[in-house]
Amino acid sequence: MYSWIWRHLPGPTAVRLLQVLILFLGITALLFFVVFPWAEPHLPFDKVEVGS
Amino acid sequence: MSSDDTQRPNNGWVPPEARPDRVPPGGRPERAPEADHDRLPPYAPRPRDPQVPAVPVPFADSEGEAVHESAEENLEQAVRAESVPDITEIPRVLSPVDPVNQVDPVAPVEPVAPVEPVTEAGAEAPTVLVPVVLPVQDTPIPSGESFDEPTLLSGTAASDEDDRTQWIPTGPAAEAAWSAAQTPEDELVTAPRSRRRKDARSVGRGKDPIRTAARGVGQTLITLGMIVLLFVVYEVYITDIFGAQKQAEAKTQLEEIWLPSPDDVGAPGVETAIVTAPAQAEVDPEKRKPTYDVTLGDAFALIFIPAFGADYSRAIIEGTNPDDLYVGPGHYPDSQLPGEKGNFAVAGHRVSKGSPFNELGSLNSCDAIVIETKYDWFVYRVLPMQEEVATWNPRSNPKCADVKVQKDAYQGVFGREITTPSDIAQVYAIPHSLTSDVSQATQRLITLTTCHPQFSDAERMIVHGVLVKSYAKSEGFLPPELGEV
Repeated sequence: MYSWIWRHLPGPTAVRLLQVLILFLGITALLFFVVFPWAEPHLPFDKVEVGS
Repeated sequence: MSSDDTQRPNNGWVPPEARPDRVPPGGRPERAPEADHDRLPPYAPRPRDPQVPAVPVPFADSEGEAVHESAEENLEQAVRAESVPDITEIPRVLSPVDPVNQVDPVAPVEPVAPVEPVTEAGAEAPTVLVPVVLPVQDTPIPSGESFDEPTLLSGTAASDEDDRTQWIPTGPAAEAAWSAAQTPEDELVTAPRSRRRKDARSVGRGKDPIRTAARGVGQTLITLGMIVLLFVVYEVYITDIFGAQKQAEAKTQLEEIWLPSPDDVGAPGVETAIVTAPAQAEVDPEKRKPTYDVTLGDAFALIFIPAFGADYSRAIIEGTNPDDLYVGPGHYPDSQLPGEKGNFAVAGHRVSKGSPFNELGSLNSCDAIVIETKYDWFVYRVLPMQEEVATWNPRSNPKCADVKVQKDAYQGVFGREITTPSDIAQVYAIPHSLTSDVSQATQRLITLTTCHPQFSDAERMIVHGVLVKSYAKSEGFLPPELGEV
């Protein structure tokens, strides 16, 4: 998968590294702002109130 | 050798029709190689004759190349030599002469002519067939392009791959076959190369399904591990950043709400005089008049816990749903409000989202929990722990003067308890009671709840405190309990 992505990125190595960095940051932002906030209530370490 | 040979710039390859030994004594014209078949001696090796040992081809790359290069030279020279006569005429002239021994032109596999070197051996014994090693098929050819005349390999392409000893044809039928086989040039040269490239790719990129599957599983697991790590980072650090921003906004909002407005002047229970002495500011909660105006989701009070540090303060939000708790500690809407008889219950995150109650486990009995509202300061103190109840002495510490072991309806309410997530009775007006009815409450308690153990929410940690003092807010006045760092 990663080698496939690397092969399909255009440009020389430096440009590819930049693209990989942008890809990583984009995916991380997607996780931080969309996926994790959605998943958090379903995971067992976020409840602090009694009687829930 | 004849003078023909000396004229040629090669290593002695002589086209069949040009060889002197094939010219009959009668002095036939040069191209008359049909005599070859007639004069084929009985001991001459036939193609695939088992008595003719196949010359082994080295498989090692280096040796293979060596073989290849010398063979290549031979072939190139042979091509140059062969190109001199007009071979296309040969079959036309010669075919009818010897139909019996003629090799089927369609199958150029059965060759009958020596490429190599046809030297004295060819002259002494009229052997027509000479084994030649053609290292084309299984030997690596790093530079297949160097074959200027790939057609010379045509005989090998159609033959059995394992038979590396090739018989280069001579004679009319062979010539016909040779010229006929000149057509598929590209195919013959490129086929082995493309196959080699495919093999190399299969080794390098893992077209092997097992390798591909293992690699896919491995990369998937690594990716999932990275996501889990990112989630930990998100939970422990990123949400703290977001929570701190929300908390700061809530505090700013609270300050704006608390700004004195003209309506406050003369409102019931509002002190207008400026008081700085704690004793003068002290008020009896029973006699205080202000009422609360709280909205779900909005901050309405500040909590100070000096034991957590002099700078510890959080805006308390009305409500305990996840959005409220992201901003700061949340007040259970069904529980009482600060200073009221009953139980002022607040939930807060222990890890993540600002972690307001991260150190709840380090609170000791008699530690101060100070609540600031629009009009009042309320000082609560943590109740005696369960292990301290038996030997509790309120006079041992000045902070504990008003902290008593709970009795009667409050029996069993301790400073800290670990309980189950469903233990809603902890936040009732009288903790551990069967009802949330506040009419029977005689104490003014505070209850803080958070998750337990740290990094889990399998259980809940509960801290109970009791109101020991309250002050009317006055400009420039701070409760002395805030200094108990």
